[in-house]
Amino acid sequence: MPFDAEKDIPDEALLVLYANGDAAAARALTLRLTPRVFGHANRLLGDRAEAEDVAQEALLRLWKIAPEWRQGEAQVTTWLYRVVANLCTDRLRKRRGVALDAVPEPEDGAASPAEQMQERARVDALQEALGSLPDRQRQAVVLRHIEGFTNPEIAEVMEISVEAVESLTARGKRALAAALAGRREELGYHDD
Amino acid sequence: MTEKDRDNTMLDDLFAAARSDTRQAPPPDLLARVLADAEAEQPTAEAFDTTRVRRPGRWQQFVTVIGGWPSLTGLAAATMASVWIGFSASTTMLPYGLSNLVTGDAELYLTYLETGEFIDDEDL
Repeated sequence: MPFDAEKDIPDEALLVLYANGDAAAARALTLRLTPRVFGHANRLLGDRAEAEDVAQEALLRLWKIAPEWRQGEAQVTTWLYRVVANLCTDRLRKRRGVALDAVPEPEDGAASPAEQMQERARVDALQEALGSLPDRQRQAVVLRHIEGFTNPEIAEVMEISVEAVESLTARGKRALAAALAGRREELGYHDD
Repeated sequence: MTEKDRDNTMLDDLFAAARSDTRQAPPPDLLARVLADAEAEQPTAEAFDTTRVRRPGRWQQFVTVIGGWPSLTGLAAATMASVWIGFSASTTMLPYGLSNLVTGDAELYLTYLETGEFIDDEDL
């Protein structure tokens, strides 16, 4: 298979190729899914090292289940995001037992231009506010507003009704707005 | 602009910033580890060999050649019918027909066996 030929192939078909021993499919799935899985885990956990572990573990489970994967039953991304959420929930529960207010420090952006620093400060502030939300609200908000999932897709990932998703995202956004209200000026949002 | 509108504008902007945040890119060593896992877990050619179809035996080949089990059943029925025809027709076609085997001496043999006389005669 040519290197860029797999771009148009759905995840599910690539997984079947992978299970049939296609080495190119293994590379393509790794390059396609790892950034998404890692990014999602990082947003849920706010910790890169832990997000790396979760991403590797979630994808390892995918490789193991590949030979038994039945096409048409579920989307690979839906299945993966569900696994990531479960792994993150386990880690968050353990973390609460150790340090209740363990919010990661924003990364150092020393050599960045002013605008880039402002952008990073905003992302860090959002991440910090996301960290203050209850787990399910955070997961729903991240899936809806950052990962770009639709409400029915989120319902499938979280195994809840669409109405419950709407409720979680609405409450999550209100809580985020409240958490960030005092930092509006600092983040460059003026009331005029 | 209401308070809610301002909040929504700010949140939409923050979500957009989060989506384009380059720091969410996975480190290269994570990609390498994931790919190593993928290659280690990938089914190999040897794994497929174990699922290879077994070569059928001679009896199975014979059954397949004559058309499978239905044909074999028909063949057995035809054989039994021809044996029966042979027995029933032998009285008219042969001088001492095959049916004598069951209608004549055979009855006597059975009688000997029941009473034990057959064994006594042979021994004496």
